[in-house]
Amino acid sequence: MVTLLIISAITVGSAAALYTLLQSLGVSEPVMIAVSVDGEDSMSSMALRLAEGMDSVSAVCEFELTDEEEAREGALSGKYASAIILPANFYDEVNNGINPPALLLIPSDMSQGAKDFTELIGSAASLVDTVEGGIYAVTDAGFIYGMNVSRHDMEMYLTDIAFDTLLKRTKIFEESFETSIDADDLISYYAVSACLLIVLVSCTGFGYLYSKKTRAVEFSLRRNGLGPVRTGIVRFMMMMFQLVFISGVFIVIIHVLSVILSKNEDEFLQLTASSLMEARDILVSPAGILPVLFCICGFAHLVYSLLKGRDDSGLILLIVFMIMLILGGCIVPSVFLPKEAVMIGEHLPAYFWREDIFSGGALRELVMGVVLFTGGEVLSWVRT
Amino acid sequence: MGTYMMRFFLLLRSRLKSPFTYIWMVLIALSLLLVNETVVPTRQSSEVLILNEAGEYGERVLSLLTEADPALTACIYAEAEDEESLRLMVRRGQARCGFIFPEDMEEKISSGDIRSMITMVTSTFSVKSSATRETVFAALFRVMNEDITENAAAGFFEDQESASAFIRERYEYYVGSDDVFRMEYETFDAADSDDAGFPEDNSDPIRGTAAVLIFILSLYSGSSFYGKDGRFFRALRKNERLVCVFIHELTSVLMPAACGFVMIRILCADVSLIRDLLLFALFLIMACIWSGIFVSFFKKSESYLPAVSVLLFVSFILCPVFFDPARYISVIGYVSRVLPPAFYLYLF
Repeated sequence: MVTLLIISAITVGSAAALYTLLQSLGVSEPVMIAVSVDGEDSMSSMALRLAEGMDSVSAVCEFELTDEEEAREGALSGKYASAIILPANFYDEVNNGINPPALLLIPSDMSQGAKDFTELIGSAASLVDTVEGGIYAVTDAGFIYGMNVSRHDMEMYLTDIAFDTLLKRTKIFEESFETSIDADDLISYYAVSACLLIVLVSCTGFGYLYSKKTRAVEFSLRRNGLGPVRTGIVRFMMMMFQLVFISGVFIVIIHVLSVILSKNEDEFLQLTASSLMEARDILVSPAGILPVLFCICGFAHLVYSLLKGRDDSGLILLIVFMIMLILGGCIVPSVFLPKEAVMIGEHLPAYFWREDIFSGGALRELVMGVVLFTGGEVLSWVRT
Repeated sequence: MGTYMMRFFLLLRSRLKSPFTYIWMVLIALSLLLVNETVVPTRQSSEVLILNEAGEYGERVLSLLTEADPALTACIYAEAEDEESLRLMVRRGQARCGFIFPEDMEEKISSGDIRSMITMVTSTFSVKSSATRETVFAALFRVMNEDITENAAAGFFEDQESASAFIRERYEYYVGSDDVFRMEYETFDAADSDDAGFPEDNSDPIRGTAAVLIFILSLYSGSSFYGKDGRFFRALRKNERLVCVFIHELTSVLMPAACGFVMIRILCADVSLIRDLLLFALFLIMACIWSGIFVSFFKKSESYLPAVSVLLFVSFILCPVFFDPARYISVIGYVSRVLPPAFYLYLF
C-alpha cells in the first residue's frame, strides 16, 4: 500500500512536471510597457485604456502611465520591457493630420515579449499610415482633378469606411483550432494519462499471481474442482480488483484536489480545478476507465500466460508497456512522433486504451478484453 | 583479483547467451532512433505560416509580411507548402499559427463579403495568435485599402479614370513615406531583459534516453537478487559480495550500454570521443553502484519491480532528457543529480 502511494505521488508529480513544460509553451506573460503622455492628454490616456481591453493587446502587454523621465529610467533598469513617449496633444494632432512622431524606446537585446510588443505597435502604426495614406492620396487628386464634395466630407467619408473595416477586422478571420491532444486541455490530458500510467505500472507487479512459487495455490484450486479456466478467472478478478482500487484512489485524489483548488480565488488555479474535474468526469463515466481496466487485465493475463510464470515477466511486461505507451502517444502526444512510429502505435492496445478513455469506446475495450483473456486461457490450456 | 576477473568473464558470457541482452540492445537502438526523429517543441515558436491560394493579391500581402524589418518583428512569416503541412506544423507547435488566404480573396474584398474570409489555424501551443492576427490584418488592410479608397473616391471626380490612376500612384507613395504618421525608434541597453538569469538548458534527448534506459536495465537486473542469484550473493562475505554485485550489474548493462554509446556517437557526436567515453563510463559505474544500493531497500520483487517502473518515468521527467526541469524549478537541478542519468547529463 505504501509503495502504491509513493508510486502514485511520484507519477502524479512527474505528470505535473511534464504538463508544466507543455503548458509553458502555450502560456506567456504579458510584458510591462511604460507610456508617457506629455501634459494632460486625456484622449490619449483613454485610447490606451481602450486598447488594453483588446485581446491582442492584453495577450502581449500591460500599460503603465508615467512621466517621460520615469519611463526612460524604468526601461533602462529593466522595470519596463519598452516605453512609449507621446508628445503633447498627440491624439488631437494625429486627428488633424499633423502627425507628431511617437517615440518608442526599445532595448537593443529584446526579449520575445518585447519583440511581440514592438511588432504589435508597428501593426497599429501601419493601420494609421494606411488610413492616412488613402485620405492624402485622394486629397492630392482633388487638387489636380477637382472634387465634387468638400474636403472635409471626403475625409469623413473615407475615415468612416476605414473605421468600419477596422472594427470588423476580427470577423475577417475564421479560427480553426487544431488540437494536439485528445482532451480539451493539457491538464485533463495528463491527469488521465497519469492514471493510465499508474495502472499499467501496477500491472508489472502481478507476476506473483503466475509465479512458479505459488503454483501450490493453483494445484490446490484444481483439487477443489477449479479448472484452469476458473483459475484464470480468479487471477483476472484479482488483477481487476486491484486496478479498480488503484484507479479509485487516483480519482478520489483528483476530486479532492479539484475541490481544494476551486475554492482558490486565483484564476489559473480555478481553471486547473475545472480541468481536473473534467478529467475526473472522463474517468468515472461508465465508458471511461472501467472498460479500459478490463482490457488491460486481459492483456496482462495474456502476457503472463505467455511467459509461463518466468521470474523476469515483470521486466518483459514493462518493456512491452514502455514501447506501447511511447508509440501509442500516452507520454508524448502522437502528433510529435514520427509518422512511421504513429503508424505502428495506432495498432497497439495502448493507443486504443488512450483513445477509448477519452472517446468512451467501451464496447471495443470489452471485446478486446474478452479476446485477450481468451488468448491467455488458450495458452494456459495448451500448457497444461 | 583473478577470481573476480574470471567471474566477470563468466557472467559476461552468460549475458551474451541471454536473448534479453539482444532485446535490450535493439530496444535502445530503436528508442534512440525514435527520439532522434521525434519533434517536441521545447520553446515557443516564432514562425507563422501562410498558405496563399489568392494568387497575386495574396502575394502582395505576403511580401509585406515577409519583407518587414526583422529588427521590428517578433515572428518569421513564411509561405506554407500546402494546407496539410500548415495544419501539422501548427498542431506540433512548430509554427505559432497559420493563415489560409482563399482563392477568391480579391473577389470577396471587391464585393465587400469579407466575413470569415481568412482561415486562421491555431493549436494548443499557439501563443499570442491574436496579436499575430493584427499584423496579418495590417498587411492585408494596406493592400485592400488601395481598392477601397479608389472605389469610394471614384464618385468624387468627373474624370474618374485619371483620378483613380493618380490616387493609386499617390497611395503607393504615401504608405511608404514619412509624410504620414510614423513611429520613431530609440534603442537602449537594458540592465536586465526578461530572459536574463534563466538557467541554461542542459537537455539532451539522445544521451538522456540512452542513459535512462541503461539505468533502468541495471535496476532491473538487480531483481535477480530475489531469485537463485540472490542465494549465491548472500552466501558471500560482505566485501566479496559488494564486488560480485557490482560485477553482476556491470555485465548486465555492458553490451546494451556499448550499443547505446555507438548510437550516441552516430546520432550526436558533438563532443570528443575520449570525453564522451569517459563520462559514459563514469555514468555506468554510478548506475551499477546505485542499483546495488537501491535493491537493498526492498525485500520482495513484487514491491521492487513497480518501484523500478516508476523510477523509469521519474527519470524521464526529472532528468534533463527531453527538457530541463531545472530551468523552471532550479532546485530540481540539484536534487535530480542523485539519479545517475541526471548526474551524467549535467556533466556536459
